Formats: sequence, C-alpha cells, structure tokens
Amino acid sequence: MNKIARIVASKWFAGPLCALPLFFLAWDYFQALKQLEQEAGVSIRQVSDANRTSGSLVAISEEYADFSFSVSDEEFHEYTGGTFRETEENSTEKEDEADSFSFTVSDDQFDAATETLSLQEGGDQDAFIARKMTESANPVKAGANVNERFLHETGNVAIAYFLIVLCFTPLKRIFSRAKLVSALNRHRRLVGLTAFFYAVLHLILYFDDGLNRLFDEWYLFYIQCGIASFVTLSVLAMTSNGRAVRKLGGKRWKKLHRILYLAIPALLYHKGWASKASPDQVREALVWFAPMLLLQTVRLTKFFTAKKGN
Amino acid sequence: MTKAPFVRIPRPSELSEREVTDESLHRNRRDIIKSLGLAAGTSLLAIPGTAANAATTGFPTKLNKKYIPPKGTKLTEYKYITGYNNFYEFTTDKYEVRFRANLGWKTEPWTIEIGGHVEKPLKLDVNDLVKDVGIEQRVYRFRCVEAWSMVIPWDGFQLNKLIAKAKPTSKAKYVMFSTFKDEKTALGFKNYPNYDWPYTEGLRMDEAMHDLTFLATGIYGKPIPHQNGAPIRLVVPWKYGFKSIKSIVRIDFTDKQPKTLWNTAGPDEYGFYSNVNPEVDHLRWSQARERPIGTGGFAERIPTLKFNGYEKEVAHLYKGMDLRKFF
Repeated sequence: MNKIARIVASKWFAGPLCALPLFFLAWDYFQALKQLEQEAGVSIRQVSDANRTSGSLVAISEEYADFSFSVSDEEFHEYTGGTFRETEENSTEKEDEADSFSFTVSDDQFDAATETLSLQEGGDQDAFIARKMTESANPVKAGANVNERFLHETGNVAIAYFLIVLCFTPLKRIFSRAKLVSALNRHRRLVGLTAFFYAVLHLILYFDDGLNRLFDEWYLFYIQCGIASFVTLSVLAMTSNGRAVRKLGGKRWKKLHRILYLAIPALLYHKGWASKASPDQVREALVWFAPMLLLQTVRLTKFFTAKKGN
Repeated sequence: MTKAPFVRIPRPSELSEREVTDESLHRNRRDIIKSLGLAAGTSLLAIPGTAANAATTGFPTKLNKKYIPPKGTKLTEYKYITGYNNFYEFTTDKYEVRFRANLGWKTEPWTIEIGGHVEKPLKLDVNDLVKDVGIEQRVYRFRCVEAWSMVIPWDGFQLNKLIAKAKPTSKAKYVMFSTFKDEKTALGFKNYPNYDWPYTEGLRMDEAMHDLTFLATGIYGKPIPHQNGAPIRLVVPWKYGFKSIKSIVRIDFTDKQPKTLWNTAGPDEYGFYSNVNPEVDHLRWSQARERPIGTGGFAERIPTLKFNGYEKEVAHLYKGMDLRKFF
C-alpha cells in the first residue's frame, strides 16, 4: 500500500490523469471532422453546375414560388385579394413528368439504416445496445450535432473533476490514517484547477456562435446557474496559488474557498435541467452528485461529536 | 423569365452512378423476393440483416418542385436523419433510437383506424392507402423544439387526401393522431412512466387541411425507417418537430382541442399550436436561433425563421391570433 501511496503522492501523478480527458476529446473531435469532411464540396452557399450533376445534396430551386394557396380556390382568391394572375411561369399545372426526379439514397445506405438487429429472446437489451453504440454509432454520433456534444462532454468532464475534488476532504476525514488518501490530497489544487480548465473549454464552445447564444439565453435559470458556477470557479482558480494564500492569510483564504459549496446546487441544476431535461438527463445528474453529497454528510459529524478525534 | 421549366432539374442520366439505384435491380426487387419463396408483404422481418419496413409501395417517387427550399439549401444527410432521432417510446438517447427501433419491430402490415366525427369509422391498410393516393417527394425544413434543424426529402402525400376519404362531419373541428403503445416493442413506456402514453398530437381542421400538411411514408426515396416513424407519420413543417407524430395508428376527428403528450407533460413549455417562432422563447431556452444538423463542427447557428420559413403559406391561418398566448 505504501508503494502505491508514494506513486500517487509524486507530483507527476495527477498531471497525466487530468490531461487524459483532453486526449479523448481531441480524438473525438478529429472523428467529427472526418465525418463532416465527407461532405466537402457541398457547402451551404455554393450551387454550381458541378454540384447539380453530382447528384449532390443541395436542393435546387430558383426561388420560392411567389404564391401558395390552401385547399380551395375560393380561399386562395380571398387570401390574395383577387390580385393573383396565373401565368405560364407560375402555373399550378403539374410539370412535364419526363423532366422529374427525386432525391434518393442507395440500397446500401437504406439497408444500413434499417437493418434488423438480432437480440436473443430475453437478452439484455441495454448491454446489447451499449455494444452496438460503440461498434457502429460513431459516424453518426461524431458528426450529427458536434457543438452540442462537445459542450456536453466538456461540461461533464469539468463537473466530474469538480465532484472529485470535493470528495478529497471527506475522504481524508474518514480514512484519516490512510497514506493513500493523504497522498491524493496533495493534488487538490491541480484537480480543482483542472475542473476550471475544462469549464473554460466548455465556455469557449458555448461562444462558438459569438455572443449570440448568451444574448439569447442569459435570462434562463440554468444558464445563470452555469454563469454563477463559472464565476465561482474563476475566483477560486485565481486565488489558488501560494501568493494568494499569503496575501489573504490562511483563515480568510479558507473562508473564501468555501464559496465552492454554493456551486454544488448550481451545477446540479445546470447539468440536470439544461435544455430539454429528459428524465434520463435529470436522473444522470442526480446519480452523479449523490456519492459526493453522501460523502459531504461526513462534515455534519462535526455537529454531533463534542470533540472530534483526529 | 424564359419559357423554361420552373426549375432546372438534372436528368437521371446526369446523376452520378453512386447515387442512383441500378434500375433493373430496383424494378426486379419484387421478383427477386418472390423467387426466394416469400410472398410480398410477409415476414422478411424476422430475418436479421434485412430491411423491415412497411409502406414499400409507391417508389420511386417524383419530386414535387413546388415544395422545395430556397436555392443553395443543403439537404441533411441520410445518416443523420436516420441516426439522430427523438423517439422517447424507445429511449431518450438520440443516437440509440436507430438500434432500439430495429430489434424486430413489425410495421407491416399496418392499419390506421379512423374515427370520431366521421360519416363512418374506417380501417385503412397503409399499403393500400398509398397505392390509392400515390406518393410524391417534397423537401421540407424540419425544426425541432430543441433548436436544431434538418432539411429532409420526405416521400408521401397530403393529409387532406386522407381527410377527404375519411369524410368528417361538420362537427369535426380538430384532428387527433395517436401512435402505438406496445410495451413489448419499446421500453420507454415502462422507463418513462411520467409521460401520458400513448403519444398523441392534434391539429386544427384548417391546419390539417392545408396543402403543406403531409403524411410521410418514405425518406430519400426509400421506405421510412423505424426510427423515423415507420410506416407512416405526420409532417407539419411550420411547427416544432414534436407535432409531427410518428407511427400513426389512429386518427380521430374531434370537436374539442385534443390533448397532446407534450402539452400534458409541460403546459408552460409545449403549446398546442407550437408554431415555429423566434420571437416566442421556450420557457427554458431561446428559440431565436437553431443549429443545422451535420453542417459543420463549429458552424454558427442560423437564425430561426417565423413559421420555419413557411410564413407566406400559413400565416393567414393565425391572423389576429396572439402567438405568444397560443404558443
């Protein structure tokens, strides 16, 4: 046990662990780019003859029909105030049948999307699906909604480290004599700063649309929870170094760093009730926070024991 | 403007080989299937690896040039349309639906029951219905309430053609749609008990009768996959996506506004009308902008259009109505 504790205590231990998610995220991002690159040559703004003849995914129309009408001619004339005149160009008659086509996909693509999967009778659907997701879902998951996915993932990583660092002190109280726990505690600052680092990544992604998203959403409660949490983490990050401890004095510094606890309910709401807040999403947030919250109850023992032993 | 056709559509011969199904293969599909000893319409379904979707009639379809978005609009790729789905009956994970919905679920044969204020209640087989009315392709914009969007080439027919068959009486003021509820097929009924299953949706009669309102049985010229609402689903392009109910089993004509699953689940968040409107935010997020799916890693979100860009076509239905109150 001592050997492990020594490895954990070494100053090179935490760094790689904190940087690890970054590698996964980077790999994910390159997968996404690969998926999206396959659509190269078909951009939103270009409609050239080259695109048309390649059967590309660009819909071709000169303009909107400058009219439309609902079911009956009477309703239509009422809507247009009788000012519409049918001409050869905007005639409602069906176009020449010979000149028509439709957008289609190949049989292979269709089969891939509709393949019947074989799950044995009584088999564990969840495990089967989990396996399928890792095998073949990547192309879609990689490219479908890249920004939302990375927003979600960076947020998750940030909250994960946030929860981890909050567990250090309770663990120290419970296992006060385990060398391993005190070894972990040496990395409190780094783990805390890592949470802040991923929160910064999270924020950068949030601003991929410039300030538009903030302007649209600033008044929403879960956004404000996120902003408040980020401000809290920034304050803690900026005062995390030794100079701050000396300037503020140990007692004041300790008091300042207690604002971390305010971030707990804020982040719980931010993660659980962001956007659609599907039942699974809420459940996931509660499951994530429960272990750490359970550990925090250790602090309450301060109130119940007259004299705390070691 | 010249006398040329309204839009220039490439001839089939101009499409690249890759994109076009080998015509002889396509035409002989039925013969090939027959020669395998399986009659049309019976179980290819339990055989893993084969497509199992209903409403296989009516293909290939022709694009209706009246219903396509403006020049330069990019269609969403098939893999995203069929791989990024909200179908809470199966799961809330958008990437899982395509697997959970294809574990042997049978959507052929499929009957739609029509009732309520109609001259006579009907039971229609989807394949017969499609053979009767014929289907065409339309390219509609699709805007989810979650602020993402797609551009989808649906194959199907106007809802008002089915309504004409149903012959509703004058008492019918609304149309109500219901989807399947089978606990053996989908786990969502048990996993998410707080929703008022089965999924129901509704439209006002004039919305239902509008030419834009569409019943889709295909996507991209192929039968609609399970995860997209096989064998037949509604598409109301000027409303948020959750109004476009999937896998319809029942259509009822009612005199009162029907209850809908999302309106019941969140009366302050999901309205009955749910017209796409950047000026009226959802309770918990803004509707001013949307993210087109599959268009780029860190692409800007695009501004949401009122009525999802179909303002010219549908705004008159809501003349004088407070769109904030009736959201």
